[in-house]
Amino acid sequence: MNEAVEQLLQRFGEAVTEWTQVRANEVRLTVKPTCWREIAQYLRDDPLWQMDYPADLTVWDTGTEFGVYLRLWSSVHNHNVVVLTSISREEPRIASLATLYPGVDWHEREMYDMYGVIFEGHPNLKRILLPDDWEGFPFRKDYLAEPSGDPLHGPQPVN
Amino acid sequence: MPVSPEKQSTLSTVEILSQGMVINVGPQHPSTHGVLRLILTLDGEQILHCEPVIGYLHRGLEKMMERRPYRHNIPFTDRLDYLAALSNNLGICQCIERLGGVEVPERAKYIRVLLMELQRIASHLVFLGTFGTDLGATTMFLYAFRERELVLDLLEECTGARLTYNWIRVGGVPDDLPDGFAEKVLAFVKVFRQRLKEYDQLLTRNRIFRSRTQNIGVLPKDLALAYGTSGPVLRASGVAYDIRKVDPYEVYDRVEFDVPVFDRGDVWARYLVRMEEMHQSLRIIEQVLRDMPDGPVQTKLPKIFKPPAGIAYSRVESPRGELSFMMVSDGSPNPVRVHIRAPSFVNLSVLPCLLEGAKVADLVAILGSIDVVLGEIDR
Repeated sequence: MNEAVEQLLQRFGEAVTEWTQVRANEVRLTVKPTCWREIAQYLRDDPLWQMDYPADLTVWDTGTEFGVYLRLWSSVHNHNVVVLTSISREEPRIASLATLYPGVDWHEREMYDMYGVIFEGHPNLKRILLPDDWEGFPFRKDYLAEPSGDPLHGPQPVN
Repeated sequence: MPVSPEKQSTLSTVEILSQGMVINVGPQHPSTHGVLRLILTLDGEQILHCEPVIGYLHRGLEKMMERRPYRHNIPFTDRLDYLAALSNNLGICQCIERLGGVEVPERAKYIRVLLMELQRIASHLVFLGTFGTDLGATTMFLYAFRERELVLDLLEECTGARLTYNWIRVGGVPDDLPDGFAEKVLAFVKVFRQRLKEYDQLLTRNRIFRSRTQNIGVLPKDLALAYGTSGPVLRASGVAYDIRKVDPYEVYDRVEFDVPVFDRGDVWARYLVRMEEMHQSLRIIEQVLRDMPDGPVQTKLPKIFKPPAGIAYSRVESPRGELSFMMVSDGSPNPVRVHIRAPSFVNLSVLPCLLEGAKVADLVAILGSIDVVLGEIDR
């Protein structure tokens, strides 16, 4: 796995800001959001990686920025990769991976639904779990979660 | 030249037919196994397009978990996949253990594996029963639930509950097995081996059942991988991805069992994978009961549990596939983020591909073979 990581670092240089070998067959990469899609594509297509299985994709809110988490698995090498990045809270935009991995389509829709993250290039970015006319993005840390207002459309500010 | 009204009406009929007819299945429909709505576009009895609509059971569990201390979240997980509550309990506990670096005593690991496999049998029996009913084999439902009752009795004796067990704890299990439990489990194993043969006679060798399932809803290997499907759905498409082998947890690396894999990728193969998995579960149960050491079943933890800041994930092989919890901690008593990667959520996302070009009559068979639980899809 070391050779694969070396080639990745050579190819992307400073775009990979940090990496750790968590276990023998698992690495964790922290990357810049601008290269999100390029790195995912490289991990999928490079013969040393062949990460052909999109295991998971999610977002979390630290209060100052959004973290994005992607986990991939390779059916050929049995390698695991966790890719992390962070994007701005004010303008949460990141490239969509739905055309690379059809499996992240619903994950990205869910994260748009809950956090309002815009996945650029997603073929069908609309709410998935909440009603289409829901107001706001409930998983954000500053979302008002008081049980007032119309339960079918979201909580309203309390005066 | 203006078109006569008669001609206009025929034109519009042709137009309607070329666009297909839209019909709605669910959300309240017995064969959707929960509140799932499917918007189907049909050309005659062929399905042109399918759009699943989910979210009717959304409770915001992930957000609720952020507002509670780590260990208070275990009962919530019972309500995710309510047919395999113990697998969910184990998933969240493993994630918290990895985050906090908690060690689990040996005996607790064996007890966990024993309960997991009993749970897998119970869950697959619900699949078997409802799948039979979906295809018109109502008898299967009665037999499968008769045997499931035996498993539920065992689990009830051990945990005190029949569905929402809430039994796995961070650092072990809350209590040891009751007296004489091993003998009762072994008696069940003996009975159940016999019953599995009966099922084979009733369904597996049934010609009508075969023709309703073989070469229906074929999912090719590359598509199954690219969509991130897991569990029996992926293994029926020829990928040997079982977390118990790929990333062994608890004591799965110390027991011998086979991972059934089929290349056909159809409804029939998904059924066969689950049938074979029940055989394998019985093998695991016997080995676990044989090798189980004595000792404590829980690690002592502080009253206020604060794992160090960081990100951790765990994954377990639930009866439906890869169940993964991902947690972010900032060192405080509550998690910053809990994410649940529910196997049914991902497996359902491949349904539009499977249904495209299929017959309406096969819809129920295909959906039933994916074996979704809406509780964990909507969370």
